[in-house]
Amino acid sequence: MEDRAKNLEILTNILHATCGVDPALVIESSRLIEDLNVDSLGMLEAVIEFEDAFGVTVDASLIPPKPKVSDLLDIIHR
Amino acid sequence: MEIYRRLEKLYLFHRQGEFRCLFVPGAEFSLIADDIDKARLKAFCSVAPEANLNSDLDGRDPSYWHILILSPDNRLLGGQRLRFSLNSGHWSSATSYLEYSYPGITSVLNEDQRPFVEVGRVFVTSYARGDHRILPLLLKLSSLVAQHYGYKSILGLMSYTYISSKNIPAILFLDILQQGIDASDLALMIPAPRHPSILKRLPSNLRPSKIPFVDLRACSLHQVVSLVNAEMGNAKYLSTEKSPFRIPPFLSVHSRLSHAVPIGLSEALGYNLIHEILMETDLCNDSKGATHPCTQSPLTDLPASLC
Repeated sequence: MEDRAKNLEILTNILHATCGVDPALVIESSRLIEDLNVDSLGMLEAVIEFEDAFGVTVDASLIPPKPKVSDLLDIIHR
Repeated sequence: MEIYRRLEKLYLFHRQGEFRCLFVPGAEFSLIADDIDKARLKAFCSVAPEANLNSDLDGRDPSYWHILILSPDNRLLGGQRLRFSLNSGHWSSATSYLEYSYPGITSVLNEDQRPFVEVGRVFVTSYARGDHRILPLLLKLSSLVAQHYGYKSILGLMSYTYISSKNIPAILFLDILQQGIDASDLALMIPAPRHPSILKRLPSNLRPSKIPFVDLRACSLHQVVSLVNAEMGNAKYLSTEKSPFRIPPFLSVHSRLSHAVPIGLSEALGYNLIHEILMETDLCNDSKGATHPCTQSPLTDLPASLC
């Protein structure tokens, strides 16, 4: 659980740096498109940074169409 | 939409979730030319508005295969064109844009046992612009198709808009690429581009005493960008640049998701503000391109022959 909180913090920083998302808005249940205003290219840029930060490789074409922050965190914790 | 319904019956080769993916031969291109032209125009103008194009059909499409992605209600969501260096007969500048930019490249690389798939004109339609799944799916499909037919390399030209002589980070970025390409042993194999780069140089008072050398074959565009930012951190640049240098998102995403590395650089004909970076994705067994999870699901419904 502690790891998940730490990973959420890292993901928040990534979304802020790549998409200009306000860190205060990022919680697990946030919807990236509807709540955080992340567009499709922004999402993919965030995924790239995400891969680097967590040392994972992601098939971006399989991320759900309207993902939540928790969907991205689940990828690391699988 | 009726035409896509008809094409789907003949050329469906893959399904991913709700998307249907078609592999359409060039002989059918005239049926979809108008739709694709409009989609390409919108996509290209979004990255290079100064090009001011009226059409993005170059007359070569009948010589390519086309991957199209359709929605459940038969709307076009995205596409790209492919040609196969060993399977598609005689190639010339009239039938291949890559051959036009690098005359002789097909025979040089074929003779060097480096057959390749040329990928180009990648687009996502405005209808699907908000869907982050389409571009990665297109990149994944070109890799899977190439692997299916036994190819180990994908080449493609990616546009990069060079804004002005005052854009110091962009010039530095292109200079580093050019120097790495000039020094690469691969540069000896690839014919000179038809329109060699005439990169404008940095003003002498701002020019680094030595542009950092980068081994581009072991390097991604993102690593080159990091290098540019490190250079820009030098005191003499601090007064002019306030935010980190970034390459356009489409270029960034495309290069990274394809695991492609730069191997050539030239200026696009007619658009002297647009550079084209020749990128290669290596699909050999242990390369990043071949081992990425995006390329791990073999295709089964492709035609046996590409002729």
